[in-house]
This record gives sequence, C-alpha cells and structure tokens, in this order.
Amino acid sequence: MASKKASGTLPPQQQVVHKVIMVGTGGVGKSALTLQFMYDEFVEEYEPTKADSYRKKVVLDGEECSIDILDTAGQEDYSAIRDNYYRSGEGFICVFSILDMESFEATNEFREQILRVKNSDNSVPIVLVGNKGDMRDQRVVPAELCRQRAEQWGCSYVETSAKRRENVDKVFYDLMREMKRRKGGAQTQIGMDATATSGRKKRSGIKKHCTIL
Amino acid sequence: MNSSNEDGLFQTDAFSPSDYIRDRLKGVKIGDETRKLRQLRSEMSALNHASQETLKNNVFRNYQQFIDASKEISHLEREIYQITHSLIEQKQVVENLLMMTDDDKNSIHTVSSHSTTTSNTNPIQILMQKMEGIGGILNNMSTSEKVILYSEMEQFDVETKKPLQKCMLILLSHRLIIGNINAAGKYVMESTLSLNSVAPVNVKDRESGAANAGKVLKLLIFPESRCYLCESARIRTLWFDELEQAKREILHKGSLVRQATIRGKRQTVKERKAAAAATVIEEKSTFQEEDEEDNGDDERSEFKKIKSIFQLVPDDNDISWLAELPAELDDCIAHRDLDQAVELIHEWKQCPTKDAVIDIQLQMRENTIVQLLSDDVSRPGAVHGGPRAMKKARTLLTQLGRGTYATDVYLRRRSAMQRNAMRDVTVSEEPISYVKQLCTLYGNAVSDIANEFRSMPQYYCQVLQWCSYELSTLLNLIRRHVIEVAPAIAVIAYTWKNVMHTMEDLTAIGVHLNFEVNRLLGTPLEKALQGNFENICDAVKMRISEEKWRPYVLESESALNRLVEELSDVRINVEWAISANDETKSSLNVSQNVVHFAKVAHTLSKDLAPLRLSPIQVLCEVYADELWKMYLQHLADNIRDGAVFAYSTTFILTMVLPVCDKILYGEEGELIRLIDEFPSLAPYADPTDEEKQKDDEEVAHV
Repeated sequence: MASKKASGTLPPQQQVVHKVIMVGTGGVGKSALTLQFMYDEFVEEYEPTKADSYRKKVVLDGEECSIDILDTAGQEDYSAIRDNYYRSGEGFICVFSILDMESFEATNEFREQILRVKNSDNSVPIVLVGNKGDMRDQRVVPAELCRQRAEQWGCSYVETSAKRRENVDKVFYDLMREMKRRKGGAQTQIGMDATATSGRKKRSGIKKHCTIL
Repeated sequence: MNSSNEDGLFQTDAFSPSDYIRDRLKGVKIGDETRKLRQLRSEMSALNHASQETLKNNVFRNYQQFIDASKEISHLEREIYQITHSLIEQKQVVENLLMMTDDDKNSIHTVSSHSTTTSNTNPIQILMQKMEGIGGILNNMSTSEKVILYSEMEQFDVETKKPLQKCMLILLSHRLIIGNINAAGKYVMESTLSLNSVAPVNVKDRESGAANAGKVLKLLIFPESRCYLCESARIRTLWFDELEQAKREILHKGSLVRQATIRGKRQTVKERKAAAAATVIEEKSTFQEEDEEDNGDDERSEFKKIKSIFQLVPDDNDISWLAELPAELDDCIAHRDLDQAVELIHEWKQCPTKDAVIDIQLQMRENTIVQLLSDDVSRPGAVHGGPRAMKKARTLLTQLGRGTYATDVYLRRRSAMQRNAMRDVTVSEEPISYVKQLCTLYGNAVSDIANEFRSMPQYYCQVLQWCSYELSTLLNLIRRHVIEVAPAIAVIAYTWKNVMHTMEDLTAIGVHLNFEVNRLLGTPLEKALQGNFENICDAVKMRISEEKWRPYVLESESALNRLVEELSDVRINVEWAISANDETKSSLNVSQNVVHFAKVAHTLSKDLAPLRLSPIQVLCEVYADELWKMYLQHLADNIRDGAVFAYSTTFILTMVLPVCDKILYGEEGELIRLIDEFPSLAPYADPTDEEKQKDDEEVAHV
C-alpha cells in the first residue's frame, strides 16, 4: 500500500523517463522537429546530425515525467552503426518528408531495422510522421499512401510542419502516451505473474480507492 | 590669428560657423565680402590638403610600425610555442623518470595539460601508471590494437546536472576502458567494454548554462547510459569522432574477414571439385587400359562417378557452413550488402552438399534478395544518378539467373521514365516542334538502351519489343495531338519527315522499325490527307464555278510586281502575261482564279512530295491526278476565244503543270501525260502555238 502511494509521487530522481528515438532519412526534419519541440524554434540551416540527445521535463496527462530524445543520423553511411542507438529506444518517431518519395520508401527499412534490434517485437511504439507539411502544395507522397503504410504497421500517422509548429507536440505526446500505456501494461503483467490472476481485480480496486483518498 | 589658436577655436563645442564668418568679415568694406570669403575659402582648402597629406603620412608611418609589431608578435608566438613544447617534453621526461624509479606514486595527480592526446610517446606506460588493473589488457594487446585516446573526465548526472566522480576513459581500437578514481586518488579500472556495444551521443542541454555547453558526452551502453563531462567542447567532439571512427573500423574489418572466409571456402570447394574430376580421369584411363572396346559406356560411367563422388562424400565442413549461411545472409541483407549476399547464394548453389531444410531457408532468402534488387530497379527513387545507377542491381539479378526478369523490370522502369519525360513536353501551338521534341526523346532513349544492351545479345528480343512498344506510345501521342487535330498537309508532311528521320537514325544503329511506323501511322495519315484534299477540291470547284475569264487586275503596279515575284520564286514565270495595253501596268492576262489555282496546285505538290515515300503514296498520286484532271476538264469545257482564256490555259499547261509535276514526280514527270487526255487543249500546250498566239496578240495591239 505504502509503496503504491509512493509510485504516484515519485521523487525526482526516480521520475519516469520516456526514451524516444528520431529516425528517418537525412534532411527530412528530425532535428527540426526535435528543436521545435524542445525550444520552440525553427532552424533554417541544415547541418547533418550525428547523434544528439535532449531531455525535457513534461507533464503528461497530469503526471510529471521526462522525455529523453535521441536525434539520430539519417545518412546512409550510418546505417551499419545504428543498431546500438536503436537498442536504447522505447518509442520511435519515423520521419519522412512528404516532398521526397525516397524518404518515404526508406521508412520501411528503418522500421525493419528497429524491429530487428527489438527482436521483432511488433508492438514497439512507433509514430509515422510526414514532415514539411507547410509545403503541401508540392507534396509528392500522397496522404492516402502514408495512411495505408501506418495502417499496415499498426501505428498512427501524423503530418507535421516543424517550420510552423504544426502537430509537433501531438507527435511527441501521442508517442509518450503509447509508451506509458505499454509500460503500464508491462508492469501489470509483471504484477500478474507475481500475484494470482484473481488478485488483479482486487488490486485495481485498491488502487482506485487510494486515488480517491 | 595664428593657426594654433584657430585649431582650438574650431574644436570647441560652442563653435558656430556663422559667427565665425561674421567675425572674419567685421570691418571689411561693403562689396569686398566676396573677395574676402574667396580668400578664406582658398586658405581653408589649402589647410585641408595639408592636413590630408599629414594624415596619409601618419597612417603610413603607423602602418609600418604595425607591420613590425605583427612580425614581432608572430616571432614571439613561435618562441612561446617552442618553449611550451620543450616544457611538455621536460614534464614527460620527469614523469617517466618518476615512474621508472617508482619513487612517488602520488605524482599521478599532476595531470598534464595535454591529457587528451594521440599518444606519440609510449602511452601504455603512462596509462598503466595512472590506472590500476589495466596492465593485463594493455600488455596483451595484439599488434593491430593501439591506444587511440585517453582522457580524464567527470561522470555526470543529467538529472541533477552535477558531477558524480572523476573517471578516466581509454579508447583502444576494439574496446573502451573506464576507470573510476578511488579514495587514494588513483584510478581503478571499473569496466571494459567492447566498442560494438557502445554508442556515443552528444548531449544538448541549454538549460544548465554555458558552463557545460557542448561538453557532455553520453555513452549508450545497453541497457544503461552514462554521461561524462569533458574538459572542453573540442575534446567532446574529438571523443565522439574517434569512437565513431573506431566503430566503423571494426565493422569494416569484420566485413573484410567475412569476405576472406568466403574466398577460402570457395577455394576449398573448387579444389575438391578438381580433385574429384582428377580421380574420375584417372579411373577412366584405368578403364581404358583394361577394356578398350567398351567405349560407349565411358561417358555415362564418368557422369555417374562424378555424381556418386559428390553425393557420397557429405562434408561436415560444408554442413556447418551451410547451417551458418542463413544467418550470414540475413546479416548481409540487413546491411544491404547485396553483392556479398549474391556471392553467398552463388556459393550455396555450387556447394555439392545439400540439406533440404537449409535449402528451403536459403531459397526464401534468395527470394528476398531478388525482391530487394527488383525494388532497386523498379523503385522511382532508384533512378537517381541515371539509369546506370540500376546497373549494379541488374547485374546481381543476372548473377542469380534472373537476367530476363531484371531486363523486363528495368525496361518497364525506363518506359515509366519515358512516359514522364513525354508528359513534360507541352503540346504547343507549333505541332512540328512538339513532334521534334518527342522524336528526340524517343531516339535518345532507344539509342541509349541499344548501346547499353549491345554486349548482351540474349536480350535483343526484349529490347526490340520495348522499342516497338515505345514507338507505339510515341506514334499514339503524335496521332492524338498532331494528326487528328486536322492540320495542314504541310504539317502532316513535316511530321512524317521528322518521324522518318528518327527512324533512319535508329536503323543506322540496328533498330529497324519503319514497318511499324507504316502500320501505325498509315490510316491516320490517310484520313488527315483525305480531309484536307476534300477542302482543297471544294475551294477549287467554287473558284471554277465563278470563273469569268477576265484579266486579273491588281490595285497597283507594285502589287503586280509582288505577285510576279512571288510566282517566280517558285519558278513559275508569268511576266509574259502582263497586259501590254494597260497603262497602269497592273493587270495580268491570266484570270485571278487561275492564279489562285496555280498557287494551290504548287503548294499541294510541294506538301505531297515527301508523303510519296509514306504508306499513303498511292493516295497522294491519286489526289494529284484528281485535282489536275478536274482542272484540265474545266479548261477543256470552257475553250473560247479571247486573250485571257488563251493566256490562262497556256499559263497552266506550260508553266504551272510542269513545275508541279517536277516537284511531285521529279524529272520524269507523270502529270504532263494528262494533257494527252484532253486533245482540245493541245494547241495551248504547244510552245510554238504560244509564240504564234503571242504574235497574233501583238498584231492585234498594233
């Protein structure tokens, strides 16, 4: 009981950290999305990223937590050493540019690499993101195709504009919610193993009570 | 007032130019002010020049001093650098001495300012002195391994943004050693990590201020991660780059080793085959010695033996190699190293040992590889870098025995590219330039493909089929946008000319598809020509019905001259028909409708001439015949007295008809024979008669 109470208000050092990894071909706007989310700014200049890490405290559905964003290199020559980076990720934002069909095609490869690193765990949270939405009039990748792919992957598709800050927060918060749900599920699962199956209802009942109190 | 006083005056804050001038003009006679002012102005400008000169001299003098000072500074800098270098050397010597005598272990606290270095003086000893527990690792390093980098850092807590403890990181070629400081102030090895499991990350943190900006390096060591605060941003970058470089190096070496293994494997397979073949030959010769007559069964027995040798000697090495092959292939596919993958598949197919389960797995991998490669060929993005970029994937597919398929996919991709390119050509107001552009696109694509496949005769059939298919696309476009929009015969003729020109070029490189053009363009051309000819006939008929056989009176002499010139440009002479009895000299003894017909007939001949080489040749000749017959009939039906008729008929028969005939049929002539069908017109066609008539006319005028 006491331990459960503690889990509601974790001391800062034990705060939940959601580890998000930005993946996608070079130049699609992974860093732009990250910087927009982190610091509300848009950088016009393009400088290829190698591997940058960001951390931010956020309030997700009333609960304080941290998001750890790893912005990875999109360039082809990094493909061989990506595995180590992907291994630490709990959720992935797979970005492509709606102006570049090749970047869209490449998303499949990125997902395959993620699944391989994650031992073919199909439920790993991924959001498919079509960036550069401010230039929709020049789009090359049809929205229908993007939705189809998201459906095929079993994930959500969001169209963003890092430049205009469209849907930037949505992408990160949606993913964090999914990760939180998954982590919660995993914890319950562990709990289920520890206690009897019949104890589950009781558990949640007690928990409910605690929250009301 | 002397100049120094004046200088002071000018420099005061309260200086007022108007007051100054007023002072200067005080007591000057009226009328003298201008002169006085001029004088003042010239004084001022003299002063200005003088001061500018002084300024320039000053600048030069100072500049000289500046250059001298700069030289001195750079000299001093060099000396300082040398001194620093000597000091560092001295320090190292001292440290080494201390280490050797082992007098003072605490000396490791004296961290050199160059703690991050690509150690040029034996770093192993320094490191062993600084950190406990690494002697075993450093002393047993292979020759290929070396110390790349070592630095003292502080482990850093990203949450609290506070340093946790002092550490030392050592980067070797294959591993990373981390040591923590102990109570005695000496580093103790804490962990040694394979570089394959370490990934460096730059920590971006604006919140903790400039103090740590760009200095924090994060190491992802699955499942945890650690942050280290470097001495400076430069060192952080150095570490990041070196770590990345070392990781790449390991991967590269790994792939080299894999290749070497495969090469070795292939070698053994070949050797075994050679050995097997040698045994068969030996045995065969024995057979021959023993039983010379039994030649018929020799070949069969040889095959049987080769087979039995391969089947009966299952090789453990092969089986274990085969068992590893699927994983190996997966690895290659993951890294998109398809060259390697194809090579492995090739090896597998050559391997005499077979295992049904593994074969199924490998077959699946092979299909995946084929799929990946065909994606490469057919994917729109894959054409970046031109069609040559797809060549590698095609070669690999050919190696996998899918050459025809690869060619098919490739040609389909080329078709799509071709369609896109053709779509970009706008259907302009000028149909001929449109046709030209399309033909150029087609011609270039075909010659490109033909050149590409020149050395691959096995695909000629596919290439030819493709060319023919593309040709039909091209001709469809031309038909839809040019021929079917009812253009003039001239446009049809030029279109035909352009298409044929392209086809001739292609014939020269061995793609002869003219028969296809004839088949596909024949009917549309016929229709277009028919429509045009009907219009021309209608117009001529209308003119015929309105014929009054009156002289053609133009508005002025110059207009007549223009007409004469226009006709003579196309080699039709009409000068002899200018009415002599007309004072204004602006009329012709040929009727206006006849002149019109002359122009129409000439244009038609000119336009039909190139089309006589097309499938509608017969139609061209029939139409020309028809038009001329109709007109000659008209002339024959209207024979009458009068100069206009006589001149007109002679003009048609002796001038227009031969010219048109020559344009259409060349020197031989076909149309001229038509005159024979109308004997009543014969006198007008006879030049002697003409002369006579002319004489008659002249007599009449007199």
